Amino acid sequence: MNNTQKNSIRTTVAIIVLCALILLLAAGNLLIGSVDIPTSEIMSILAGNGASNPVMEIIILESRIPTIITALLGGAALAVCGLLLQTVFNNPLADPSILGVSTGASLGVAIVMLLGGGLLGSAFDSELSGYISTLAGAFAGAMAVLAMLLIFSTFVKSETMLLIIGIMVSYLTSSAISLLNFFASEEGVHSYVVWGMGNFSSVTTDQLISFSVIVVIGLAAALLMVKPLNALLLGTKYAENLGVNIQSTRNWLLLITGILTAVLTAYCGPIAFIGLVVPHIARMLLKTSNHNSLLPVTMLTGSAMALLCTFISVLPVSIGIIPINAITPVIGVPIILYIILNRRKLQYFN
Amino acid sequence: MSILSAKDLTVGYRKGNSTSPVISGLNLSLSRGKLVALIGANGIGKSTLLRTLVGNQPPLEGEVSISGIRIGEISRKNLSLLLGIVNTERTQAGALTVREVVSLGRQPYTGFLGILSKNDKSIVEKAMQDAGILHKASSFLAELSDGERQKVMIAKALAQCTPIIILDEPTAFLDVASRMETMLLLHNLAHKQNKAVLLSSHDLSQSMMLADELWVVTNDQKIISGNTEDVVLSGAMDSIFASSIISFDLLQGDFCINLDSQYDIKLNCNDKILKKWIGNALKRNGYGISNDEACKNEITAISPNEITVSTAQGSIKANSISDMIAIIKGKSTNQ
Repeated sequence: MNNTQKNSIRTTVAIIVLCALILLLAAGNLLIGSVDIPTSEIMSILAGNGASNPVMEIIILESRIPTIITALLGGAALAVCGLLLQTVFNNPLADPSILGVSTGASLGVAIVMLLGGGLLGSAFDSELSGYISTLAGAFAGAMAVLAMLLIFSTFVKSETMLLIIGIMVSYLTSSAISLLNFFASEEGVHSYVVWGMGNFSSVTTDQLISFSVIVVIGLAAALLMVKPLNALLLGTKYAENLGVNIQSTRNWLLLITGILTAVLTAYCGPIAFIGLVVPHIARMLLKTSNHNSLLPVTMLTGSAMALLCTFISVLPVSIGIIPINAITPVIGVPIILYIILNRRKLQYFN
Repeated sequence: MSILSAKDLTVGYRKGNSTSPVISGLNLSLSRGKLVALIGANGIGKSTLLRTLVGNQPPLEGEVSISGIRIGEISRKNLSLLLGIVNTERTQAGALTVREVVSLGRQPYTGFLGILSKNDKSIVEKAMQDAGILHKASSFLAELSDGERQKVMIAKALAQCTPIIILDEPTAFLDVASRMETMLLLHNLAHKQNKAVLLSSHDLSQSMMLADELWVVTNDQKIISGNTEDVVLSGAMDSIFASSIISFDLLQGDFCINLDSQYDIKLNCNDKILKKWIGNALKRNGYGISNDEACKNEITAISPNEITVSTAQGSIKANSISDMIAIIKGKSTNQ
């Protein structure tokens, strides 16, 4: 059996296994949470028959199910952002948090949350306008950092140097956030810190639709970029010679990344490591960098990873929920170390 | 018939209002069915010229045109149907199979999602066959040798089905056998598939053997172009390097180092190969070969083990070239 056939079998198996895993983890997230709800009650609620206690119904329908959907879409979005940035910047260690894109989005959110909350408090009376301004802040911050990286990438040819520039931008942005925190009210700082720990459960049922629509559009747009993404694997000169408009392709890819990162950061906080690690897991599963299969499998792996993190976060049932950003590095760092140590053996580096 | 031509072309870099020309006054033409080798010293501007010819970099003066249309006026998409490139850019494609990489060459022809038709697929197979890499079609790029990777990129350019293929240093980093195979492959593509093939190279001997035309970049940044043998015999090769310690040996067809000789020796030998290598040993050790009948020092060689060194003092037999050198060195110090 040759590699081409093996690849297509691998892709099929990976998709089936990941879908099963996602269903399993979704069920786990549905059944286990900080409030103990019997499985029979959950079945009854899902069947539309209600529960013996209306609070249980509210917990399932307005907390657990929105969390599952948020993690499902959010995980896919974070992972796709990582993959797009890794291909565009030709750098296996690129992802929204390392390149400072999430930090940029965070700064935008911080400005809205801390300055806005303090100075313009009355302007954010309605929750909706509050969320729209948070989202706009996050988007402006993410795009500003992406634009800066794009400008640098035209005259900094070394990928490692570009990564370091991203990290520097990240530090600058963090320092601005610290300053904002320093001058903000205690209440504002508290809500900012809690937001910064990351979680998939803060999207309310009302916001779920707008969140889902934006994320699904972003993911669909990414799927449409598969052809130029594959050409970019050969480098920009080859891609250009194959008829790819490098400038507009890059702009589109960065716009998609910016929107997805902004939405995710605004709603769920800056979640690290999923974007960095998941594309590598998908490449190792598939043994290919062909985006035709890599992109969909990256999405599924991202969903599974986010659901796994959410599941772990509710495991210490009685104490409460662990922040997502306390879990992602525990899973992510060993994988990144494995990848760095096996760089020579992993063929997608060669 | 010329398909790509350059008229009064100056290539170089533009920064703000100042320009730094690299090579100027170029009038070149590339024809179908011919393999052309662009040769010149490192850093002289070969890559700059190639980038200008493929439209990656605007010319400072003059113009480049394909079939009479200026390259700047050809859309990116149409250019990808006319001209295929092979370079030494690092790729991220290690985990793609050879077939997947070659299939990327069909991108100018496929639709929005890049799905290959049956025709595309058969062109890909043919391209791999013509490039001699079909047996590795299912291997990952990372598993291939440098020479095989180069063939894959050539197959990619073939799958693009362009009349022109331009290659930047396709034989750099390759061992001698792979270099020759690659050159032979390109020669065959030009001749059998009627493509215009232009490559830049350091490899003089293979370029001279297989290229139909040479474009020689001289050290004063001009180009001498024409039929390979005409260019070689015009003495153009000596203008490639400004260095005085090397010169082009027309008989050997390669550069050689100008060694100083202190003493002259007459060399008698009927075996041409033996004569060449004894001459090589003598020159390296500072002895010039003299044809002067009056020369008193003389070496007569019958085989590598039967060499006679004769001087005014008499003759000594040497049983190897190493022995011969020792004898003549002893003699010259005695003198």
